[in-house]
Amino acid sequence: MDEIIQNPAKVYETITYLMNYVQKYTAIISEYSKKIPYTTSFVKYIFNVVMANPLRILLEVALIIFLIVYIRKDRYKVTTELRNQLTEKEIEELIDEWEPEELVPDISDDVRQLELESVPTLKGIVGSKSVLEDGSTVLNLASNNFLGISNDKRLLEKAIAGVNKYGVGTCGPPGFYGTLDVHTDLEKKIAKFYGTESALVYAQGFSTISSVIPAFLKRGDLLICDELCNFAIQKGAEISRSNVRFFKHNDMNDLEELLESIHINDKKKGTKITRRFIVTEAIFYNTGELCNLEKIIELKYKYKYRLILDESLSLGVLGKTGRGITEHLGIPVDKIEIFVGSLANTLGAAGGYCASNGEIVEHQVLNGLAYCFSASLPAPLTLASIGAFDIVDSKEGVKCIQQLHENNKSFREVIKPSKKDKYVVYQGFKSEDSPIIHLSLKNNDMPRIQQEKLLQKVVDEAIKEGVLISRAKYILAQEKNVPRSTIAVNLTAGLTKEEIERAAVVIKDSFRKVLN
Amino acid sequence: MTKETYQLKGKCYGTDANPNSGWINHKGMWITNIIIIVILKTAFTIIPGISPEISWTLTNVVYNLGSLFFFHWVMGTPFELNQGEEFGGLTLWEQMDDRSEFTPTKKYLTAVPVVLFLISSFQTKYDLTQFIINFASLVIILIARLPFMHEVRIFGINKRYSDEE
Repeated sequence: MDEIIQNPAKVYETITYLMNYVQKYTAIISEYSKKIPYTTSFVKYIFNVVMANPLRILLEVALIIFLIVYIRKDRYKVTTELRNQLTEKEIEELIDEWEPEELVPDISDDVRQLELESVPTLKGIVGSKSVLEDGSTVLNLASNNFLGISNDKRLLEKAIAGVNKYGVGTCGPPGFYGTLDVHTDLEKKIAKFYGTESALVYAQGFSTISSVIPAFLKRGDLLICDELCNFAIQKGAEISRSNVRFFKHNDMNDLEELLESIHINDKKKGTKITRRFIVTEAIFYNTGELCNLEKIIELKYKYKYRLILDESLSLGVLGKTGRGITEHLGIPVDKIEIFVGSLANTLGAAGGYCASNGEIVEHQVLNGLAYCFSASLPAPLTLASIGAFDIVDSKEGVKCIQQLHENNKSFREVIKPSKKDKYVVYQGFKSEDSPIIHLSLKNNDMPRIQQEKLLQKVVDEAIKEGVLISRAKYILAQEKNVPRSTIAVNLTAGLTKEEIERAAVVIKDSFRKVLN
Repeated sequence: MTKETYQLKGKCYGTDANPNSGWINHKGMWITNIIIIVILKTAFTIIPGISPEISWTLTNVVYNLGSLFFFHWVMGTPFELNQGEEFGGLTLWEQMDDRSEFTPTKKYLTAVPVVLFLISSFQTKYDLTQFIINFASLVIILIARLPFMHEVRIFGINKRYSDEE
């Protein structure tokens, strides 16, 4: 560079060199541009436009450059804090208003204290005869162990073999990796036992029905439900978000009226095609009576509904061979769309099942929430269920059921209150066939807590005499219709007729002692 | 203000946790924008007594003022969607895309008025008065959309939350 500046001749040389270069390339470009049509006229046009209004063109070019720059920018997030809309005053007010909830809830109120104090503690295995904490043996009439097979040695052996072979848990929902061969065995067993096309095993008895109902009923569908259905059914109806209509407990006239009014309403407003179900229990957990299945089936065919039947308590209890209410009342199985039940009551294992036709079962594999998202039933319990089904299905099972019915008959005969007794035995539709007996006070004008306290005294008195019974317990705040406060006696075939009669006498005496 | 560059360049749905502004990133919103412009233009063309030039200017001005109103004027959460009060002091433009700048949607919404301006100024045959009107409306909307205007309230417009008490 220094050389060039010092020597003017060289400057001139450089300039001419550059000029030559420019001239050369201009010539080449103009030559090529001649080959492309309209080039010159286009350049001229642009030149004219620019000359006509250079300011405007400048503006437009600036806009386009701005746009290109803007579009090429990188994304970033504004990190300033979001403004708090509350003023200091409001914040102080809110702080003053706030009262922290106690970590340990207050249990000083009567109801909770009663519940806490009245829980008996058992030692060892729960069976028809159990051992209390203080070492005394009692006749257990508080468990749903109707056939007395819950601690059968064969079942225990099967469960232990299951632990040795499969471990204690499956650690996964059935849809992923929780299905074992024993689960499909159990499903086939249940289907065969019921005589339905197919069946599905759930991991928990309670969540079975509250998962089956929302699997089929969605928002806008219609569910007709008995007033005194058990808590699981109520929860299922709530989860499904369907329109739930209740009919009076086991009152078929009320049900017919309800269905008729819905039918008339549909005719007026034009029928909407919705899924419609009736849900009821075979043996009502809350009252211990049977449902009037024949009439319900007649109505369901008349008004075109489907039926979900909860057989949690009736499986293995009703019917000659324990097939449930259908066998007991002589109704064909295919008249009921969905059977739901629990393996935890009579069979003494755990879990629940849904027995129905293939499509309905298949639907639940992806739509039953409890089936999809809960870990499947542990293998030892599955094996115990299979064993329990074997027992129920055998001659021994028939014998057990006979024993249960005999026990039931003799217990009911002894417990029948005489005129001076101040308690009532709940009587409902065919309730003499069910092994659950609800005893309540004659005088039910008293406040509930007082009734419960009196009943608890009766229970304590009976336990002292060696008969374990319990009050029927409910979550009062969440029940739709709270049933009367009662003592629920669950009979069992694990005890002899004499023992059952003794228990009945003890209970009767305890009632007399407390109330008279 | 720390700048945090994101690897994501394309449009991303569902990243916007704020349902009040999330709809802007829904499928078809870009096309909808253009359809609105077409409808505006058609409406102004149909009205008798409006020359094609003026209809273009009207389209441009109405679109710009309309988006100024909806994106930069209305504040907070007009629809209660359970998201609390935290967005109460922000305009829709500020809430958009989880409060990010230079997102694809924002770039697109900035480009649309510029292109519309270029088209309409060409269609009005560069008439000076209409050119000035179009340009003024463009400048207003562009300034409102630039990042430096984030949460800036000039001339006391919409100051109701920032300077309370």
